[in-house]
Amino acid sequence: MKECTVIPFGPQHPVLPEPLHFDLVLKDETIVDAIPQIGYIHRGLELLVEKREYQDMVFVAERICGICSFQHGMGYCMAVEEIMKLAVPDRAQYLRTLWCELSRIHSHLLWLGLAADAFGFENLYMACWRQRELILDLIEATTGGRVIFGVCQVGGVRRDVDADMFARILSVLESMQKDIGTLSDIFINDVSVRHRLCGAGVLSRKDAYELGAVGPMARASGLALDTRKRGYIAYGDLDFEPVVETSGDCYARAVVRIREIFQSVDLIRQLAAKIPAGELNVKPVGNPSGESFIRVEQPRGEVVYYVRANGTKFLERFRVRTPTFANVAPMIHLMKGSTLADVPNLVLTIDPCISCTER
Amino acid sequence: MSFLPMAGTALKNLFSRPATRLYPFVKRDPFAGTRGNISIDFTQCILCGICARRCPTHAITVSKERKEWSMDHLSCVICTNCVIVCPKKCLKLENEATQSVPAAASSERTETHTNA
Repeated sequence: MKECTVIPFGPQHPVLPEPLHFDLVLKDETIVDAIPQIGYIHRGLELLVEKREYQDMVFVAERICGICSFQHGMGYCMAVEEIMKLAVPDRAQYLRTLWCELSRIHSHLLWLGLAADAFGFENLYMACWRQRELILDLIEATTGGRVIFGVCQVGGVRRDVDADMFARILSVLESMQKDIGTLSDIFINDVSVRHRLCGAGVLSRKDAYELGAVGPMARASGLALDTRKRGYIAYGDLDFEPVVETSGDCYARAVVRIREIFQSVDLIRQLAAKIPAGELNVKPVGNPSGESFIRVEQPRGEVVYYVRANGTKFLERFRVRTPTFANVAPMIHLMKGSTLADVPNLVLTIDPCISCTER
Repeated sequence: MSFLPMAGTALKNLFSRPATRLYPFVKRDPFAGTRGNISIDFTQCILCGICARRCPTHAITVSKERKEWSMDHLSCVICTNCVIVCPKKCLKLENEATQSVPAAASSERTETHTNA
């Protein structure tokens, strides 16, 4: 190891929006080993479950992360609902699906922008974020918040979306689809983008399976893993297939996310046509007692929630296994053997959310 | 594969109006349901303290002895839990966002109502 150099990467690095540290062991320009270190923004949110009433904890759960906030709150609510055997009304399930898909679109647009920034295409970065702003406006108009929705509660949802609003959502998505089509054309066809992404960080199907990759990372390597196919909330009534690419490189991961944006637009169209009328929530009676596991598909991949309740209004344990945590091992695997200049791309390509991971 | 597919978009951007506003000179009107900040009609308040107990960030403090209700607006995350649980419905959600104040000016960030 005498001829090796160790370069610290992060926690503050231009390409990283969040603190993640690597010790990169290099031989010339090639990475021999990467040692990750997390723990810079641990906030102890899981422990708060012992100090907040179970119905109020959803506000804390939502603040685990600023991008998948709705899915965090919803996953927590679903876990408590399963313990309490609450039958959530159909309309609430459809509205939850709507907000899940809107947040998937805004998360993927954010990622596309950051990825463009990582390979030095700032014009494209801003173009992606301009589209994202339209989605954030829709989210604010329907929920009242831009990134923290605050509409999920144990037993249903707090706000309704009326037919006019659905028409507005569909018309915005219609016009956006054309603009995003132009942008995705750049990602897919531009020669300089392809030069940076094609062949960089190839994760084989076998490695993706063995290292436990989730979400777009796994789907770009040919694994058709999509928790939505389990049919939780309203996904069982909607018609879709997981987006799968087979080449497993950075380019495939970008293409998976681009195709998922269009898939989400299609899902919103389907649910707008099918949404039933009815109640928005059921009132939980008493306190939960028991334990449950819930799996939800976030924009970044599969997240697992574990909740244990002891019959009081304070829960005993709340645990979140986030998709970024599952994707760190495949990312380290990708880094070994790649060049130093590719590291920003590789790190960004898993869409790391460190504040989720550390909670 | 194509060369310079961004050129068309870039040129269009160059000759079209900006996507952003000249904040703070031009402000966007908040949406009807925007969670901006929390206001209280203190004359209706019975100082039951439920809002303070259920506040996830402990932004609200209620003292029955001093007959005082106070709220730290910069700690408030506008989850509207207090508005939902208030038995007298004297708390209200406003659409206008909380004005930012220097963190040091603690007298400005805390809104206090007393009925002593």
